[in-house]
Amino acid sequence: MKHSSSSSIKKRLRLPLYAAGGAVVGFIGANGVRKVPSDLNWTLSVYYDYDLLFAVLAAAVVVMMLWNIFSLSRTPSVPPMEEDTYGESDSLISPAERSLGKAMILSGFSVIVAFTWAALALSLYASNRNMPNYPELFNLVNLIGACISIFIVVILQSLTLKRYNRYFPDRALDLNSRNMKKDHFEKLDEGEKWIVYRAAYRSFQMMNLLLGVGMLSMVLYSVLFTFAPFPIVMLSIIWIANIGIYYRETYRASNQ
Amino acid sequence: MEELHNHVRELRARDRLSQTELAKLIGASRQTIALIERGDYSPSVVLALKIAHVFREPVEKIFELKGGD
Repeated sequence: MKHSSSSSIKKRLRLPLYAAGGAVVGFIGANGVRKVPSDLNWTLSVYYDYDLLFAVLAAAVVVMMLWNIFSLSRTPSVPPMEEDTYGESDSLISPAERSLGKAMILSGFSVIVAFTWAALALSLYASNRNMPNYPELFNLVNLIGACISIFIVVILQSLTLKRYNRYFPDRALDLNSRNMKKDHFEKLDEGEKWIVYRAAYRSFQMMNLLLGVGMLSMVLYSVLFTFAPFPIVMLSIIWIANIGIYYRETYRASNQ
Repeated sequence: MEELHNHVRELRARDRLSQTELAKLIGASRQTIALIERGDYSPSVVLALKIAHVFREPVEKIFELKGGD
């Protein structure tokens, strides 16, 4: 057990080294690459700046909302009788609970994408408003569209949570509570907590990998387009916070 | 490497208990019972004792280490 944990720590420590190695190799490899010609349009635009990007985001929100509604419609509003649901199967969740789980995931994703759309729309508005030929109508429609999408996905999320609370009244989620996630975790039993611990650890490992990938892609962006220090610094801060919180928790546990 | 094996499924069948009923008796979730039966999760001592109490069997008869020396 001790051996496996020490080897996993070693593997984790190697990750930043791999990232740094990748950055060096990428930099040397791309050193000879010439900058992309400035007349090339990389702003995902057709009529207005970034309109294609916003169209993709809007389409993603709509698809996820429809999928969310479809998953909710496949979830019976009243939980089926327990014995009919599970029988003697080894499955951890019933088909109805699986549909509900899908709806929960999709509603979470659609909220994130809708907020991303709004954040990007606001950023574009803030950076373009003083420019000549500023497309006021496009920005206005874009902002209103993002706000409407947030409104709809939040309503859909509250409907999904309502259905979840009907299925699991003993571990109801309260959107109005500040400690919704913490309160919910406290209501889980030991087996379910073990599932959450395992999922959280995998998510932590994946975050380390993705932050490295994100940093490398920003280096590549700088090589091809222009120097982009802010995203790299931001990623670095997030990475430090991610690792720092992990070690703080393990340090706390070992000192108890 | 020794692994924890259990006879929860057999004992549950013997006592004609569903996973949900056993879960209610020991104050756990059905998911936890399914995890234990699949061998994915080793329960705490407290939960193992509760399971043993329901089946009226000693813990070592329900949970045993297999493999290794």
